[in-house]
Amino acid sequence: MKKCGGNLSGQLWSAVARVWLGIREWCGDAAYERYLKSQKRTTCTALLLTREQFYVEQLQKRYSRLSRCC
Amino acid sequence: MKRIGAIAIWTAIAIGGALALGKIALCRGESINATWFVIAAACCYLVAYRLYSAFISAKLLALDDTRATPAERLDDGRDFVPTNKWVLFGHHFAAIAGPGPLVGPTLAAQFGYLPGTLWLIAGSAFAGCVQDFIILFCSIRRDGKTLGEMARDEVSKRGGFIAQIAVLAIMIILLGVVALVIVNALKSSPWATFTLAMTIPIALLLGVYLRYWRPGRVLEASLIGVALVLFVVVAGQWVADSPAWARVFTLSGVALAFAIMAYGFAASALPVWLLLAPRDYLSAFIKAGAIFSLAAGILIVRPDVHMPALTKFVDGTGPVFAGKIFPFCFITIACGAISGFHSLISSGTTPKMIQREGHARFIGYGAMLLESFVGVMAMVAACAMQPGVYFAINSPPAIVGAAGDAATATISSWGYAVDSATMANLAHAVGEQTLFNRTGGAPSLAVGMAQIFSHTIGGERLLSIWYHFAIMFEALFILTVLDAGTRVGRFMVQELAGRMWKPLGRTGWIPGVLISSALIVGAWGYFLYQGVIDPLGGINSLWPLFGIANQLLAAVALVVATTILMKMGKLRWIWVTLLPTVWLVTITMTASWQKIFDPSPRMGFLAAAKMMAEQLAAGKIPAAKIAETQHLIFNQRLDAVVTIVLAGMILVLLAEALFQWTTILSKRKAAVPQESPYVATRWAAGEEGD
Repeated sequence: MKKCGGNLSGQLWSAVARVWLGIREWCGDAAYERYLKSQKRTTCTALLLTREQFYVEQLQKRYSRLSRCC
Repeated sequence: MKRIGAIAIWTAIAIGGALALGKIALCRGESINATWFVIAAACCYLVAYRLYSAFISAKLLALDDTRATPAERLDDGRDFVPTNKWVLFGHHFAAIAGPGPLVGPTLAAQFGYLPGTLWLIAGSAFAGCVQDFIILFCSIRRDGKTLGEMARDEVSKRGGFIAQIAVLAIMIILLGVVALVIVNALKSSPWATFTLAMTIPIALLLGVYLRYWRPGRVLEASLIGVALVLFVVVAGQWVADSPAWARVFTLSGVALAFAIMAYGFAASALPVWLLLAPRDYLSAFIKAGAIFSLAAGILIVRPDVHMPALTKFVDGTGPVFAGKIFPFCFITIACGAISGFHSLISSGTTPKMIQREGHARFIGYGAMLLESFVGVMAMVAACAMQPGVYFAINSPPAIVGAAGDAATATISSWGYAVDSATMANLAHAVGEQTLFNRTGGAPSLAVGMAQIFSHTIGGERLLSIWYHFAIMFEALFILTVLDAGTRVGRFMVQELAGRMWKPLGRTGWIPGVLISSALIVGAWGYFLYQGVIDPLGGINSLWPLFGIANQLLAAVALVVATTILMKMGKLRWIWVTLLPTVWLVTITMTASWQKIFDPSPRMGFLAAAKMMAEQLAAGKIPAAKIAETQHLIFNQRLDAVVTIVLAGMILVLLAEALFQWTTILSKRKAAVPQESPYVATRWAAGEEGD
C-alpha cells in the first residue's frame, strides 16, 4: 500500500511538473533553455547568444510576421 | 467488445448532439437554457473531430508519422523548433483566437440565436476547420511555406500576388474596424478609458523588466502585469467617482480615434520589446483566463436565452447592421465559422514547430473547433440578456433616436419591450453614464459576460467590476491585434515601397520606419475615422467590408488547397474543399453586389452617396453640415470602390484557378505538387523530439 501511495504521489508530482513545463513552453519562458539545448548539439559554445540577445532576437522575428489573428 | 463500447459511446454523443440541436432549432416563443447550446456544440464538435477530421486525415491527406517534419529536419532552436503538441495547440489557438469570434456572433444575434449558432457549428466543422487543417498540412509538406508562396507555386504567380494584396487589404480594414469597436466601447466611459490607458505604462514597465532586469522571464513578468491590470480595473471606479479625474478620462469618439492612431504609430515605430511584446504577454494570459471563466460561468449559471430563435430582422431591416440573413449572417460571423486570416497562421509559425504530421489534425482542426466554441459562448452571452436591452445597446442613434425615451419607444414598437428605467438601472449597475447607442458589439458582450460572472461570484455588487473587466479584456485583446497588425503592415508597406526606392525598404532606417508606420496607420486610421463620424455608427458599413475581405482570403486558401489536392490525385474527395469554396464565393459575391448596388441607402454604398448628393443639390443640407456631408459622400464611394476591388480579385483568382484545374484535369500539364522530398523521421513511434 505504502509503495502504491508513493507511486501515486510520484505520478502526481510528475504530472504537475509536466503541466508547469507546458505553461513555461507556451508562454515562451523556456525558449532560451530549448535554444541552448538545440545549439549545444551543433554550435561552438562561444557563438551562443546570451539570454538577453536571444530574447530580443526572438521578439524581432515574431513581430515581423503575422502572429495574431482577427 | 472494446469496439462495440466505442461505437455505443459515439452513438450516444451523436444522439445527444442531435437532440440538443433539435431543442434549440425547434424552440419557439419561450426562453431556452444555455446548457442546450453547450451540449449541441460540444457533441457536434466531438463527432466532427472523431469522424470528419479522421476521414480527411486518412483519405485526403494520408498523414504520415514516419515522415520527418520541417521542425525535425531544420531544427535551429529559433524558427524551426519541435514542440509538444499540447503546447503547440495552445500557441496556435492563442494566435487564431482574436476579437472576431466574440464580436461577430454578438452582432449577428440581431437575427436571433439560431442562424448564427447553426452557422458557427456547421461552418467550423465543414469549412473553417477544413481550411486550417489542410493549409497546415500543405505548409508542413513544403518546409513551412506561407500561403502567398504556396499560391504562387501551386496556382499561379497572379494567385500569389492576389494573396499578398488580399492580406494587406484585410489587415487595413480589420485594423480600422476593430479600432472602431474599442472607440465605441470607451466613448464617454472614464472608468474603461482609464483602465485601458493604464495598461500602457504597465506594458512599458514589463518591457523594461523583461529586457534589462530579468531577460526573457515571461511567466513571472506576466503574473506581475496581470496583478497590476486587475488592480487598475478596480481603481478605475475611483477615477469614475472623482469629478475632476472623470472629466480627464471622458473622451469623445474623435479624440479616442486619434489617441488609438497615436498608439498604433508608437507600437509600430518603437522597439518591439518595449511596448508591443509585453502587452501581447499580458493579453495572452488575460485572454486565456477570461475565456475559461466565461465557459465555467455559463456551465455554472446556466442562464436562460431570452432572444428568440429568429427575429423579425431576418428580412434585412435590423438596426445593428443592414442586410438579410442571407448572405449577411455568414459575412458577419467570419471568425468562429471560417476565417481566411487563420490560413496565415496555419502557414506561418505552426508548421515550423509541429513534431509529427499526425499532430496537424489535433492542432489544425481541433484549435478551430475550440475557437468556434468561443463564438457559441459569445452568442449565448449576447442572447442571455433581454432582447430589448440588446437592441437598445447596439442600435445607432440615427435608427432609434439618441434620447432614451425615443429609443425605448422605437425598440418596444418592434416587439422587444424595454423601458428607460431598466436601461438607467443597468447603466448605473455597470458603472456607465448610459448604455444607449453603444454600438460595435463590445459593450453588449461585456454586459452579457458581466451578468454571467456576477451570478457566479459577487452578485449585483460586483456587476460594475465584472463589466469593466470584460471591457478591458476585449479592448486589450483588440489592441494586441492592432499593434501587432500595424507592425506587420509596416513591414509589408516597406517591402512594397522598397521596390520603388531602396532605402524605404530598410527596416532599420529610422525615416523609412516612420514614413511606413505613418502610411499604414493613416490607411486604417482613415477607415476608423470614417466609422466614428458615420451617423449609422460605422459598424453598418465597415463590419461587412471586413467580412468580405476575410472571406476573400479564405477563398484564396481554399482554392490553393483544392489545387494541391487535385495535383495529389485526390479528385474523388475534392468536394471537401470545393464545396466550401463555392459557398464562400457565393456569399461573398452576393454580399459585395448588395453592398455596392442595393437601391436602399442604408444598404448600398452608391445609393447612400446618391441620396446625400441629391439632398445637397436640393439645398436640404444646412450650411454647417455641407462639408461633413461631402465627406460622407466620398466615404460611401470609397467603400464601394474597395468592395469592387475585393470582388474583382475573387473573380480573377477564380478564373486563374479554373484555368489551372482544367489544365490538370485534361492532363495537358503534369500535375506535380511542389512538396519537399520524403525524409524518414529519426524518432521512434511515440517518442517526442525532445
